[in-house]
Amino acid sequence: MASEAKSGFPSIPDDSDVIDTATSLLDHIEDLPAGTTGALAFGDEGLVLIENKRICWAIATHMRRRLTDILCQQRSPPLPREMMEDVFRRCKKQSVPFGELLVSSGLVTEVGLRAALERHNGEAVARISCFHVKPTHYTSHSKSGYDPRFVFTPTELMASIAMRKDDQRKVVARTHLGEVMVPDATGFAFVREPWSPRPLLVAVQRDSPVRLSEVHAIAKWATSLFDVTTVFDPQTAIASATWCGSTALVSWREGEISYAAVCSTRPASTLLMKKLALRLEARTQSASATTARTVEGS
Amino acid sequence: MTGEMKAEGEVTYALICLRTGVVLQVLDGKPSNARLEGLAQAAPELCNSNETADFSLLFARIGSDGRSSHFSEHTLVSPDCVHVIERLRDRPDVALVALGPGAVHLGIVLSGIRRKLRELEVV
Repeated sequence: MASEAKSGFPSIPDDSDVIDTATSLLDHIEDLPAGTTGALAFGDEGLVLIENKRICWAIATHMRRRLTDILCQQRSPPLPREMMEDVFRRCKKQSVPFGELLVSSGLVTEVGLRAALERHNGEAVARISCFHVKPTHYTSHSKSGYDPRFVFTPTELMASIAMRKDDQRKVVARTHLGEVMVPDATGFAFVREPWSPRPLLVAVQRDSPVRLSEVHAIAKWATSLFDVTTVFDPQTAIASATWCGSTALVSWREGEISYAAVCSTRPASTLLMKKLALRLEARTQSASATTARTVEGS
Repeated sequence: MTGEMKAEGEVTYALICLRTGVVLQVLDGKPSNARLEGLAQAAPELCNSNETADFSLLFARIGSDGRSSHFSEHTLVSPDCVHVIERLRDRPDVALVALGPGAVHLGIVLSGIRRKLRELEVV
């Protein structure tokens, strides 16, 4: 379908509703009891394998692009599909996980495999959700066995789906979070788009304990807070709010992306605020210096 | 006078009403100003938000050891000013606010308002 080809995610319709439907499906996974491990089937539309409520693998019926396609396209020029198929045959013969053999063979890196799995699983979840199908049955698995390096929280997949057309913003946000985050704090990035009623998740720290519904609530709170601050200081760029003297929310804006962090200790929020304030001061001084040079030059 | 002492001297403290958004008293004999009035006006919406219902469960899960239904302290930073709002424990409709110069003086403003809060709560 032409609309699918535009989306950058061939199997997902280019439709803003996919954010709502995917959120609904991922919320359902987060609402499962703690420790849930098994297979969640969605009628004939697809299947999601879960381990401790982390998504290990998802597949949607009639997906136009599979994991191997994504992996092949990671390299330039693309890897021949036959190489992937050969690894797949070997992993079945040797009873070794496919991902492990891919990485040990040097065909993909660990980072590349994780990125490909995130893309594949996000695409599958989004595609399943588009059919508005509720889970039809669940099979519990007693054994776990997925490599924790390659499983995803619902929040991580939501960011992948929301930013399916915008790798650049995702990279900027992930880089920024990597630079500023501190111990005992977990952060995420979001943006406001005119076509979406809710803030869109751009990136989230790996293994964040913050649920998707909480991420949305925090983003909404932060957005409202910065709207209110325009009354007395439209340049407000950093905000924090302390709960019970120790835990806190911190939110800030750099460029067009907004960020928020949940801090579980007082030192964490203090250190994060200090880092952000220094960055703000440095940006302000740099902007002033540029303006002064421009004025002198004219 | 060091830069820090100068920055401390530039911090304005005031008591504001979190119901009406009015400045009740500017401390230390300083005059009120437009930024302080604006902060007071916005404070009820900042501090009495109904959107905090989801947060009590989140904070309990990540280790908060107290029970609360609202944030006790707000800090807002722009390049020109640090604004801090501290809700008084014994007068929940009143907050102590501090306005200080510039993001780089964040630590001075935070330590100053906490000291001032202790003085107020002793009286």
